[in-house]
Amino acid sequence: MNTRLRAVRLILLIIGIISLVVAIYVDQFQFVKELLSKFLDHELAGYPF
Amino acid sequence: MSITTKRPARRYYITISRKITQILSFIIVFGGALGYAATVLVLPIRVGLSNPFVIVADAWMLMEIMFGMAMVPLVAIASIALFTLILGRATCGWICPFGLINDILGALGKKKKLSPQTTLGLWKFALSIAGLLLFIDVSIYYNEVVGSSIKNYFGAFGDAPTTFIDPVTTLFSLLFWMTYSNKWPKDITGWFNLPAELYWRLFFLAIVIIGMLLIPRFYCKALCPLGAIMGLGSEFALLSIHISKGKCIECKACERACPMDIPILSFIDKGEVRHPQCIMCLKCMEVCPAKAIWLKFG
Repeated sequence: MNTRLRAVRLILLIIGIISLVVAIYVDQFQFVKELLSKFLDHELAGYPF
Repeated sequence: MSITTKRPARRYYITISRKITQILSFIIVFGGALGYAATVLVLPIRVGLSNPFVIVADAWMLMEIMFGMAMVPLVAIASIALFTLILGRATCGWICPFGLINDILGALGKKKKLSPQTTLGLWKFALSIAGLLLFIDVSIYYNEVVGSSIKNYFGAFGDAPTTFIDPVTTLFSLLFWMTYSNKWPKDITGWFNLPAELYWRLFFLAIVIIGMLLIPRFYCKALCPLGAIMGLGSEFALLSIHISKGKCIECKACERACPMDIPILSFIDKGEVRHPQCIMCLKCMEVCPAKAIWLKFG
């Protein structure tokens, strides 16, 4: 169990860190800010506003 | 002369702290209503993205929308992986705005307890829904990348397939916009002209609300795709609940208090309560008369 615990933690850490670093590199956080700042119709199931 | 034994007053510090945190988080997440600008924060919570007052991104919806835009949702993946690694599903219990709605409706309704098998079965059900939605999302992403869009096959739900069965965005986004834009029909004929998707989503929201009134945290247990995915990793989180076999008097107060119906005493031999449905609400710790349950990091 201990080996499995450490292995899964390591996998989660690697996935998290690599994703975070690449996200910062490609400036995805700015994209998130822009997305939150504008009107999105994606979640409205096509209902026109 | 009668002798009265004075029972120690039960302290609800954890519940009070959690409620305050949930309410503050709700206010912060909808901080746009107070004039705050959108942030770059991406949290594993369910709130949607379409509400104009939301200033913190919902990792699940962000992931879906980015897949639909042929982008790899790295921010969402990083958020889910790192929060799960550090806190497990604590964000469900302490920060999630829809979790607060679940708690409020759960407090108003019945407190039906589920068996351990049902609890685990509901998580597997939610996980299968999450898997199916992810499969659809990745398929949409792949086809967008290769230039053969399949979004239209999903009709109005092509941009974010979760919305088909998502009470969160129906409540926080669709109903908000209907009210905000004053789109509710003024006469009876107007109701017949509303799109079928809207009726389906309202029907599904009603079903989930009834579920939340009958079973505490019904949505979190049985339907939340984000919670189900986090449940895969939360068993291995750094933050965990420990239980002492020596101190435990097996009164089952913890199991009765647990809103997620986790069979806590079945973990007594292991010494750690690691269950995919655990949202770290710490009610078990709070009600334990023997102080046999505690929180540990690392």
